Amino acid sequence: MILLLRPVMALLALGSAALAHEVPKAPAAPPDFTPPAAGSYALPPIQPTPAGTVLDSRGRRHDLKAFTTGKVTLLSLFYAQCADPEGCPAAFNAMIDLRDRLAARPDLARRVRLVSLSFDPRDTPELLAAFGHHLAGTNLPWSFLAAASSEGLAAMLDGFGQDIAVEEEGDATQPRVISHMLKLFLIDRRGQVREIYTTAFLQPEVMYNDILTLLIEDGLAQR
Amino acid sequence: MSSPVLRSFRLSLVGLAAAAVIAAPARADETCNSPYMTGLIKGQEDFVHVWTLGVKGLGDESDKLVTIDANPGSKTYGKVVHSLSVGGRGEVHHMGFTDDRKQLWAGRLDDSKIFVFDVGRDPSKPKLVRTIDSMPAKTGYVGPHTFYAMPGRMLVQGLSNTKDHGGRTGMAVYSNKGDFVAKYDMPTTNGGDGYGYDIAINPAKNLMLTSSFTGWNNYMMDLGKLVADPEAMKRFGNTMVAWDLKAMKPRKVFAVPGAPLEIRWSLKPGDNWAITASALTSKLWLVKQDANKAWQAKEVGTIGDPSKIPLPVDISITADGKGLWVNTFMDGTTRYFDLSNPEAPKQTYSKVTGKQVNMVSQSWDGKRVYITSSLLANWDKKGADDEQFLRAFAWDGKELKPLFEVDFTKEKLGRAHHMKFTAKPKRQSALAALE
Repeated sequence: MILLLRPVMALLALGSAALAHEVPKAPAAPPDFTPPAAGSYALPPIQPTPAGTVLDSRGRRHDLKAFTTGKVTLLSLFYAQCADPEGCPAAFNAMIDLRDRLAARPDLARRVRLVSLSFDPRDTPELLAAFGHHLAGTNLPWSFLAAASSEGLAAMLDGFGQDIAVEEEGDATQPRVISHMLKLFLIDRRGQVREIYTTAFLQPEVMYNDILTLLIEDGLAQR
Repeated sequence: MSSPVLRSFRLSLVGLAAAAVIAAPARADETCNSPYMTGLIKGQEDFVHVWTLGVKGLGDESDKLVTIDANPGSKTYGKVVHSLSVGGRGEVHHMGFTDDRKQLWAGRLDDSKIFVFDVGRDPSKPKLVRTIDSMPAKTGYVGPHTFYAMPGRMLVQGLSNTKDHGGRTGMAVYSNKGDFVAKYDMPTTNGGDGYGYDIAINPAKNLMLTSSFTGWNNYMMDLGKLVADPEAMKRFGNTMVAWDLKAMKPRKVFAVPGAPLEIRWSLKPGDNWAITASALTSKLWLVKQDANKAWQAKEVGTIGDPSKIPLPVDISITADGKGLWVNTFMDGTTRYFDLSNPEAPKQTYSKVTGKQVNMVSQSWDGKRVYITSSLLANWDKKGADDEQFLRAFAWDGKELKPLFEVDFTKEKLGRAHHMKFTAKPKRQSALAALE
């Protein structure tokens, strides 16, 4: 499942000219358990989302807050050339699954957004736009962003608790690997991180219930 | 083409251009960490960190994190390369890495302080970056014992409570930055005794298991006095609990008599069973699903002669789930059980490795086994039997052969308790290297 997206990431890394292919849809594996019903459990606030300035896929500056408040937000930190099957491609697979689940529920889709924030300064607005072209486009907003400066990026990564570094070892002919731990952040309408997903627990069905739980909490959805 | 993004970065990265090579853990790990943790050490560990109880009249008398070089290719192999005293003596006990393996959280059972060490930048020189003393006030729990990494946060199992210092307790959640997030009481209904000890999570099953020990009144009491007090001896945990992990709600309480302690899930892909050892009854217990997919706990083996109370105090499962090390404190014995059939573990090897032994940790490849000596300050043996050490052994599948030993008394360090491994960082650069 996860491997399906790897070629896509490579295509995206080449630029928009190579993006004529349709993004394959990765089926989500059902969890090996019955998730608790949405709204039957609590997701205590873990941490606030950090402040920062970001650029959208047209190069325009925004306060990150514009993308982390007002709606329930699922935010991933990524870089375009990531080819680790347990890294960014796995996150995109989960987000595609959730995009389709939520897009099928217009009453929910208008209260939720997806955000992918690049931590690689080589990811140009053009490349981000290509991501948006292929992955967004439904009734569910999906924004592709980059930090406006390295200092701002460092502060945002620290605020999220996301550590990254550039691998110095390996094949010099291959794209540089940015070492990072896959994390997706579920953020409530007030900008509080309420859940963090890593590779060991990327279950779209559970994540969907978590999103619904936050909407139920705010009286914006029903059990 | 120079995009606005890149231009901006180029301007702002000037100050970082000399971007130093920074540290990050090599990919490699021992077998008993949280499944949410990254940076597993599957090769040679470089350092063993020992959370050490200070002893009055010995050295600086303070609790400390002792770092020992464990790489046989190093000039300082088998030697103490760093010692970081944290001040005072508060019954230090266990440690756990954060999900990114950058920080090591370590607790004290008496004063309930939690110390957070940076071991990511330079594991040869851990640095104390934070002290958390809010757990009793925030939660009513005492004795932070197990530190279990969850994404972006730490789950901390308490052993006791502020009201009566008995065994009723709960779990606290802190963000990786040290902020309190939530608390969860151990269940006291449907068979629950409210006690706690260890935590072990199986994400694929959305299942968290907890075990149960005893409260402050007992673990701070002299062991001789404790065993002579029949009422106190009744106040040990006799349960394990299966929790709905996502909901953080108890799902089922298992009767597991005699203080079930460390819990280990099999790490073999496809396995979905866990094993534990009960300290007072000297039994091995298996937790797995039955034919109806209902989780059950059942006794599957005996450790030594239970009538002699050998006191199994720690276990370490092999990476393939086929073997289990068990340390029994009273007879100073390290035992190996064949777990090929987890329903019927068989002891296939034993060796007296000290006059008293407590923790046992193995490398991911199973070739090295490390043992420490201290159980609790007031439970350790007296006089000449109170050996304090870290002993490293090579394991070839047949015999434990000594590699090196650090005498914690001779080195004026203290009582050696919990161990964690780290590896030297790979060479990595900061973001500026991308320019």
